[in-house]
Amino acid sequence: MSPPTGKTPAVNPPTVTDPAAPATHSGLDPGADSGEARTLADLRRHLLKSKAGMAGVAITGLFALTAIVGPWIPFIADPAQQSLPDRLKPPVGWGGTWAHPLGTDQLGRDLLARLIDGARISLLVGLAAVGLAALIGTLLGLVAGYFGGWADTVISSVADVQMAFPGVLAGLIFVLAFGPSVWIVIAVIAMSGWMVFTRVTRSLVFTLRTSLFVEASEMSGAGSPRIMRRHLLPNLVSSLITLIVLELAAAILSESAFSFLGFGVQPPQSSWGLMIEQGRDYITHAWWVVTFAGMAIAVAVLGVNLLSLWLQSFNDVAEREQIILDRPGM
Amino acid sequence: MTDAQNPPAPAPAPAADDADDAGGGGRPVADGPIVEGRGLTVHFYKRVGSRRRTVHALDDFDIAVGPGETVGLVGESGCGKSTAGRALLGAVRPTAGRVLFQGEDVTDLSRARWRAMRKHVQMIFQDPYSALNPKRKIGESVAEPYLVHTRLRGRELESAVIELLEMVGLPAGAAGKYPHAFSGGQRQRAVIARALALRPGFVVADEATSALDVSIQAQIVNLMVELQAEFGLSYLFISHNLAVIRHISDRVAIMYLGRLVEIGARSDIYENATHPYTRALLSSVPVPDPASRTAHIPLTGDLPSPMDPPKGCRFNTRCPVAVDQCFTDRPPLEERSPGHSVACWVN
Repeated sequence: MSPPTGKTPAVNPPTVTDPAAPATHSGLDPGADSGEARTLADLRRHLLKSKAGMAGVAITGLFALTAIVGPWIPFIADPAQQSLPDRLKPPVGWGGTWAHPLGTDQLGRDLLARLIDGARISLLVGLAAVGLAALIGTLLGLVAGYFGGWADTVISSVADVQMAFPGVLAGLIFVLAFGPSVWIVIAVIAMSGWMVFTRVTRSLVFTLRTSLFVEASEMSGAGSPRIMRRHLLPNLVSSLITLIVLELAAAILSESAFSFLGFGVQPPQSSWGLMIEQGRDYITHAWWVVTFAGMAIAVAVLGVNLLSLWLQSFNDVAEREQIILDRPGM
Repeated sequence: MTDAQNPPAPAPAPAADDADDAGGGGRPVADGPIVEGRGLTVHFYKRVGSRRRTVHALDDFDIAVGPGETVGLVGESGCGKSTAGRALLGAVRPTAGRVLFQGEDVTDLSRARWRAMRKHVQMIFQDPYSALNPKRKIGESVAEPYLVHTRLRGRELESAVIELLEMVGLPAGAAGKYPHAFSGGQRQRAVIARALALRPGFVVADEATSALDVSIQAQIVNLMVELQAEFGLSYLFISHNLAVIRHISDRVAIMYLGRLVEIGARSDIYENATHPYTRALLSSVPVPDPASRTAHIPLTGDLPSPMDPPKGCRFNTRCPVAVDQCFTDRPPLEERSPGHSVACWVN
């Protein structure tokens, strides 16, 4: 038997040549596809149309690359190597030498090496914290959204309480109880971030669970775990990825703040927040110690935010169309 | 309750358009219906401001679908057609009344037992665009009933899925593609394949063709008829499309605001419509015959809210022939001729 439709000649001017879905747009329902054919090629094409997106990808990529290959970059000094005669050397261009391109801190340690080393901690803590928050938050959001009723009431109430609770205060309590460490920072950041995932997941699941394909699955006799895993979760992935990236930026910032306050990463480990804290006393006559670390935080967070923003616009079909049609430059 | 009105004698069919009726005439329900609803009532509770209001989605609804039979269920949007279908499938718990499957009361089965029942009763959905998960391949969607109810896995599962797809006229290659690659008609074929995977005896088709192009509708209806002949399926075919209902149904039931107003063999309804609502519905269908000059009976006003249905006969706000009694007493569904029942005080 031949397929019923399909060979309708394409009337629309081909704005994008979509290799994944040819000849099937019979004009029945142009919005029906909702951009599901998101292949890697699609992603790249849309990335090339957005300067902000490209900047986000470039900065985040550089950040990640630095964190990963940091220790193996040649000609970079040991970040823990102290040299008191070389303390507070200025960067190149302000009287410094190429031995320490960004200068040194109060113990004579190379700032560039410490920045690279700090990237590693920042990314690690950020990813671990957001991963944990996403895992817990999504699970709770699925349960709250799909089952509703008292499960939803309990989970949403806890999320609301957590939302109202200042994260720094929670961090302080934890540090007092367990002593400062990287793990505590991860736990605290995850604890103050999970409810964002819960709320987003819950509200998405609220609409998804009334959709026909979920009802169809229920009609097939599928149980709740199966419906959540096979039907709800796959439809959350794109939103969750965007949210993970967005939360990653916040987590990097939080880690810096915690380390700056002394609750987080402890010396001799280095972190951008810790570098600012340590360079704070010398800010009047050695501006470079705090400046480069601060800039690193700002640029990394900006890059990750740009990436998240672009991902979001890519996911949002309407927004995506706008990028193609209205904003050739930006 | 007076019964003074004379039931109209089964009038001879108008010669113009009964060609499709040759073999029909309402097959009698053979030895026991496969699915039966008795006095099904579904009330939803809705909070309006601070008050809790009752939505009368379905009231005292009786229906029986025999083996191999197609019952068409007609009514305006929001009249409770879908609720009736879902109540028969256990997807909506009735407030009152019973659901019987092959004579066995299944109304109060546990969730788990109802899940097992899904092998026998299935549903085809209105909108094939949202009835398939956009993130899952057609093959995965169609395989789901097997994964839930059977031990078929791997190659066996694959060949079972391909067999199903071919049964509904989809190429075997469709299994590996996502729904977006298919047209509405093709998707509806996949939805039908999924519904029939476990060879159910009873299928509720909830506006199965309304979301499709007119040119595709006929193909899907014909496919459903073919599959019915092949597997001896029974359908409850819910639609507001009177032409499709006429084409596919053995018997036709007309609903208005949660209540059955008329039910009978196809010929009873299409040639001898008795309830004023049925008449108004039928008169709204254009007849492709210039000689036919049936008077159009306009329906004025909107469907009243099911939160506040009119007293007496629910059709009284729009009925052209309503008398005083219609505003006070609810008309019972009475058999006017064998198999043809009407709920009306006047006609």
